[in-house]
Amino acid sequence: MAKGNTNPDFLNGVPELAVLRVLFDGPQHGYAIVQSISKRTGGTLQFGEGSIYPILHKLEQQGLLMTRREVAGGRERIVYRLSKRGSKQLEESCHRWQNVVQSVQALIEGGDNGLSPVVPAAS
Amino acid sequence: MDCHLWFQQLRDALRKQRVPKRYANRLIDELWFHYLEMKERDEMNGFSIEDNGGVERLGSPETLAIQAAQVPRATWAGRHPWLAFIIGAPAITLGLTIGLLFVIFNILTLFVEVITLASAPWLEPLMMVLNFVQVVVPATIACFLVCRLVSRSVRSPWWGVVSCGVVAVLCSMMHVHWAPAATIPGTGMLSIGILAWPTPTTLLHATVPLVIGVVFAIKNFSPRKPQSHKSAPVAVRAAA
Repeated sequence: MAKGNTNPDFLNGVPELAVLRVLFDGPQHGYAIVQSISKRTGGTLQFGEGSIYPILHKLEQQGLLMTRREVAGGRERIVYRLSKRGSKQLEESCHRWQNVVQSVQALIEGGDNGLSPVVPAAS
Repeated sequence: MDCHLWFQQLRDALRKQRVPKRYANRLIDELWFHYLEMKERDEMNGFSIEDNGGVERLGSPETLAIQAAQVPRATWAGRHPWLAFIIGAPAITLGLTIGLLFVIFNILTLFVEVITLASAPWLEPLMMVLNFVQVVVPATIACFLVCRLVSRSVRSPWWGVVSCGVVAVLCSMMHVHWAPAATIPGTGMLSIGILAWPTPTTLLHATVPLVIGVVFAIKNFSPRKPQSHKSAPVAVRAAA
């Protein structure tokens, strides 16, 4: 994972979506969440690993995540899990994101509007 | 970069961004455990964390502090603590008291036409309880609500303690008195108001919000466990 990378503005909302999706599969602590995102996206989504925590705390404040303290290997760590509100938010975010992906895909390919492809095919 | 230096820079940056101390400590704790996990994982894979980006993999301390400073401002209460906690708590108490008064008034009026103290002597102790409950229940709800808001908005616990104190002062001056009819039905009285000085009875109202404030303070100010990140980076450095 690249060091200290933060997401550009274009990806606003994506880290939140990624966190919610990872936690949909079960409770995890911060380190495991970062690893899951990195593994699942094949390293495409790169976070400054520490920047996951302000995101987690903001989602917790919004009631989308719940926490509990857990002792593992002599260390107390905070485990995050999705709340009911979080599950609903994930569903909405996924739907919105899929719309964005389809729209951008249509834009790139020229789509229904009859536009020329932005990236011409290599001759 | 040395991890001790990195954490010190983060602490300074968080202070510069005026991140509440309690939240800053939580963030540093979590980042420290994250760093230990990274280090252990790298060692398990046969190389040192320094070969794999070191502590800087966590990001830049300044960027993290800027992101962390946005967390307490993510909710309305976090952005406007004076309004939410100092004005909001007594406002909620007053609103709930008036609402409860309205409900009780409507229920009692069904009985006052037929019941008097002469026919129902149990009415007097009941009314005494009602006079107390009428003030204390709304205050209790308001205090719990505000303390929960303080915790959620990661603001300093002092906001919760002060809010409970403000509610206690209000309760100590709030007077609600139901006087049942003595002999003639329909002549019962209700008096409500804010007293200039508290009386022993109204002072009793203040005990409940005060107790909630003290419990909240004990829960939030008592040391949970030693903060390992304060000394541990030095130990890591010595071991390396």
